[in-house]
Amino acid sequence: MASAALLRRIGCAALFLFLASPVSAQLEDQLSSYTGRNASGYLEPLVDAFAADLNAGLYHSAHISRGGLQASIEILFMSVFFTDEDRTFTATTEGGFQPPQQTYAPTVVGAKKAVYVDGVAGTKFAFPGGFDLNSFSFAVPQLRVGSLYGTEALIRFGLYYTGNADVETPMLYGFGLRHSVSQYIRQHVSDRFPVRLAVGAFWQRFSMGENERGDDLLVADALSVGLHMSKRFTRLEPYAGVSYETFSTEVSYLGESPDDEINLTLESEDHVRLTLGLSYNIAFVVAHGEYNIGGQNAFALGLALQHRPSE
Amino acid sequence: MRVAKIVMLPVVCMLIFASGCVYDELASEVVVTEKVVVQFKEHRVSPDINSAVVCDRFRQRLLGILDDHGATLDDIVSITMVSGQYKVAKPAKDKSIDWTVAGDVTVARQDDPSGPVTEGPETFVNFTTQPLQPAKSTPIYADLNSAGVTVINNALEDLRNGGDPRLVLNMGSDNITPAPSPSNPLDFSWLAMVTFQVVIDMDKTE
Repeated sequence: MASAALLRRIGCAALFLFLASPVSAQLEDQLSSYTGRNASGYLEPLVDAFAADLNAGLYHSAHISRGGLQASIEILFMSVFFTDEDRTFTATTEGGFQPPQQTYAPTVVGAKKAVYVDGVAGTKFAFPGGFDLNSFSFAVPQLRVGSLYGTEALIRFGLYYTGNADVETPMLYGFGLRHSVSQYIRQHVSDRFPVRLAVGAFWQRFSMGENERGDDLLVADALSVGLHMSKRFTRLEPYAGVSYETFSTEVSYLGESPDDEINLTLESEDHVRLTLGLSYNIAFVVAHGEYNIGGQNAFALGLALQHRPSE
Repeated sequence: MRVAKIVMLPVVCMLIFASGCVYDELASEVVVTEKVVVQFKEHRVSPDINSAVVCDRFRQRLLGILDDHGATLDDIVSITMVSGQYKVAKPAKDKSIDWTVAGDVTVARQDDPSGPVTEGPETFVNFTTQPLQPAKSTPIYADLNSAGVTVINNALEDLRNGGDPRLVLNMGSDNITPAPSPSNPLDFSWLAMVTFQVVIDMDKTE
């Protein structure tokens, strides 16, 4: 029992906790009572949080060697804390409910209790509850390999065990490249400009759940392009970066009837991110933490086991 | 030793944060929207209509919903009516005639088919003038009457308490234009739809 509990806790730490069984199945239940704008409003905080989390932890240094083997195995933990504003949205009654009304209803991260409005002649309309989440967190492994002409590759991949055969395995994969800008800066200039610079681009795809037609319930694509900088002081290495990002999510589910297929495209309206972080290097180990400022602020903690060519 | 502490720090932090995210606790109140449809078939040779249909599938629908969610009657927070719609399913063959119907639909509770009516009949929907042709493509939301809705909401509440309600809907009209006759009968069928929502507390189903 103890090992099972430990496995569960480690699994909980290392996997997409939120998305595991039975939540992804319940999410479709919640969505099935919504169409269009209500579904977008219901999901929006989660979509923004997911975007903020996914694009965190992509780097912890701007040092990229010009050549030689540079590799690291990393584990990242990302989290977004929700505010009170994230917990409700302005929902509109559906399904011919008379008279049409708007009210504050729980988002997917809001209160668990359903919200009701009264209509004509004793009718009522119920808006589903949320999952009462204070934060949205997940962890993901990644592999960083370089360096060729000052370029390194970053690969993320995760398959996540949900513990429920009825729930499709969530999957995340992504690929990106980073390139050293500092290698093009002449020595006498770099002496006066003592930070390392790099540019990078990273694409990721996440899919989860299975709708009643057997397709993915949710597919999310994230792209981040950014300028990164860092300055190494023996073991400490502050780093920062600014990124332009896009994030879109396709949600496909059935509404009230089997013929009522609803396809939603949700796009994050947050496109710019500022990252401030600090790495601590000891031998082959790097521990780092960062704070990301954007539409949704996110923090990330990471641990890397790395090999770098001597400089 | 110092390296080990630094290595362990993020791991411990991850576990602390993760421990607050046990997914079994993420249940909430689910809203399931369901529709019950009954069909009226009309063959009229006079300007009046008086036809009845029985709607007794509420329990079957509810048990299906509960089964899908691994829930029981005890997990239900509420069942209430949301709206009513009607639609012409099979229009009159002679499309050159623009039939209109005025009348009402009443609802009564009669759980035992050979027993007495225990509630109603009460007016559920009034329609003063409804052309049949426009009602064949998309469902029309009905102007509901509170007395009839009360009968339905009472039936839904009894359903929640384990009952098996049976409703009798009656369409009554004495004003069909042009007036049908044996030489010019009005044959059509139409659907009456009652939409209701079941709110299930998924916390209780754990």
